[in-house]
Amino acid sequence: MTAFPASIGRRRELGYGAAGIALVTAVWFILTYPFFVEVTEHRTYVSTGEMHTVRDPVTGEILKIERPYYSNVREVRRSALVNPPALDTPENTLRDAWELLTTRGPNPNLLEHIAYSCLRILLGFVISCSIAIPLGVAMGLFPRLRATIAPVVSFLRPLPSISWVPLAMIWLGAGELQKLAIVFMGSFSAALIYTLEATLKVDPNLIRAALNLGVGPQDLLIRVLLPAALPNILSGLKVVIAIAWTCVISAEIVGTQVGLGSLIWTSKETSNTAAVLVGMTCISSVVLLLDALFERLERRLVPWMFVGAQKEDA
Amino acid sequence: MSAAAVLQADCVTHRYGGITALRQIDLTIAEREFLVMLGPSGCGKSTLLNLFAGFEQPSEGRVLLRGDPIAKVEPRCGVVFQNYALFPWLTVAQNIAFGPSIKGIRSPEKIANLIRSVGIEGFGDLYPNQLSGGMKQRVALARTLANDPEVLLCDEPFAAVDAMTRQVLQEELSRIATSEAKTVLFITHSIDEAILLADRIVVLSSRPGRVKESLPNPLQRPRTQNMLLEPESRELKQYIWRKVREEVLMSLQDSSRAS
Ligand SMILES: Nc1ncnc2c1ncn2[C@@H]1O[C@H](COP(=O)(O)OP(=O)(O)OP(=O)(O)O)[C@@H](O)[C@H]1O
Ligand SMILES: [Mg+2]
Repeated sequence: MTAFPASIGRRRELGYGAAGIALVTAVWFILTYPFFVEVTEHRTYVSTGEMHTVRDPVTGEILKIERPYYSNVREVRRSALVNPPALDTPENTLRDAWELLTTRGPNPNLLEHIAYSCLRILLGFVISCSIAIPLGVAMGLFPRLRATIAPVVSFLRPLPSISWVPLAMIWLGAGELQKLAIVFMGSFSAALIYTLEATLKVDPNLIRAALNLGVGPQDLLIRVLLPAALPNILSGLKVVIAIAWTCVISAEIVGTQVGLGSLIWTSKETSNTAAVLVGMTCISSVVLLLDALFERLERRLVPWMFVGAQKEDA
Repeated sequence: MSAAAVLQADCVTHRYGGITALRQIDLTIAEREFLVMLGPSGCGKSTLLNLFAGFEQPSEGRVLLRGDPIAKVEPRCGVVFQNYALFPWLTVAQNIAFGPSIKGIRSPEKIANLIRSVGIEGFGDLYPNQLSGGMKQRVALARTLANDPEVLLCDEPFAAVDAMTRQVLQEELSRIATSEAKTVLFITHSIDEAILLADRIVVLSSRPGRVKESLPNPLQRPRTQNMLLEPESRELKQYIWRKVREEVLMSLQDSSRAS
């Protein structure tokens, strides 16, 4: 029996990946390429400036009038399968991206949009983690605390980040504090639950082994529980960062002119599809970049999770 | 009660909710004795070992270490777990040094000696999940020994290890237990393993577990695999097998009646 092959190798994977991206770009080109040419002709009066005199047949008056001249005008309109504002061409999108990158005008620069969104996320994420992680671990350790907080969290968890926007505006106005609050509320319950689960998942045998080797209850947290839970906490936080992104995009719908969320929403108001696409591409790229950075952090913090298992018998 | 008793279960009953795992069991393990416990699955062997380790407290009766009740997890009774329970975030050497480092003791020579005596030289800087099962169990044994326990409690430590490695590990454990004069309580399902290792073999009855049979092992030390083929040990093996079999059948009947 041949099982499904696990891998096709790194280089081939990159090759196929490039092909996938090329395919999507090609489809984009084809959809927006002006294949169709529409030609219309119509007669138009053209001024010649040439004057001549005629006698008015009724009054006998001599009039000076311009000789009329008519001309056939051909009008050529090019159109693609999909036209703006539904979809703009790749060239226009690139040009818009460049304009956004180089603008010094009253409108914010693309880098400012990116920087603002990143700062809001990082700050909100750091604040929510610095409360959620200790609380989650404590909930894992103390069943009474867990029982008290769990219902509140299960009430908060289903609320999408966008549902926090109205309350945040009423309480905090439309400033930066409101943006932070939305990121915080959107990511807090997820961070808390991932940390709690990671703590509860710690192998009780490890705790027994540590106690048996003489660890006192006061050292158990630092020496065993935290390192044992850390890998799962970190992989939970990776998901939380993605959630924080959706939060910041919701938060930037209103009350700000800067940020990637604001960029795509205001561009939509002006039917500027190219700028919307630029904004979306930036969101995706920044998320990918943050993911890559986070993985480097993980390799630093939990190196034992990245060494290959020689043989797993359990 | 003999003066040299190291571990003692005194009329111990242990229940998990409605399940009585052990009922009024008495067991004494003497100084330097290597006691191997056999019995059908679910008869309460692990439960008894966990009571001796102090992981749990008996519902009734007393468990004693040198006459003192075991009230909390007892570092003097070092446990070797079936699934190793190595700390994945520590390297092999750090795992072994864990017990001493808790007490603030750093003795690289001792760790190096242990690494040598369980045969894992050159693996000190690897993480546990870079090791095979047999290697992991060597590390776990070394980690427990590094803490200098008076008693070794082993719950089927070699069950998940392949047969070749198991043989080597049995010999090493036997040698270490003799040379370091340890008292050992060892749980296994393998009668061969019991005969190779034990000074005394105890067969527990089906649940709730009680001591059904306590047999001194007449086999000379040092022991080899070949000695298992001699008539004397084959007779012993058959005798033990009959006793265990009766209890296994009993527990199967119990469970079919229960379902
Ligand atoms: N934590 C627990 N909660 C509830 N019941 C338990 C618990 N641990 C053990 N038991 C029950 O107690 C009985 C004895 O279990 P124990 O693990 O001591 O058996 P064992 O002899 O070690 O079996 P095995 O040979 O399969 O390891 C079993 O019926 C088991 O179901
Ligand atoms: Mg067991």
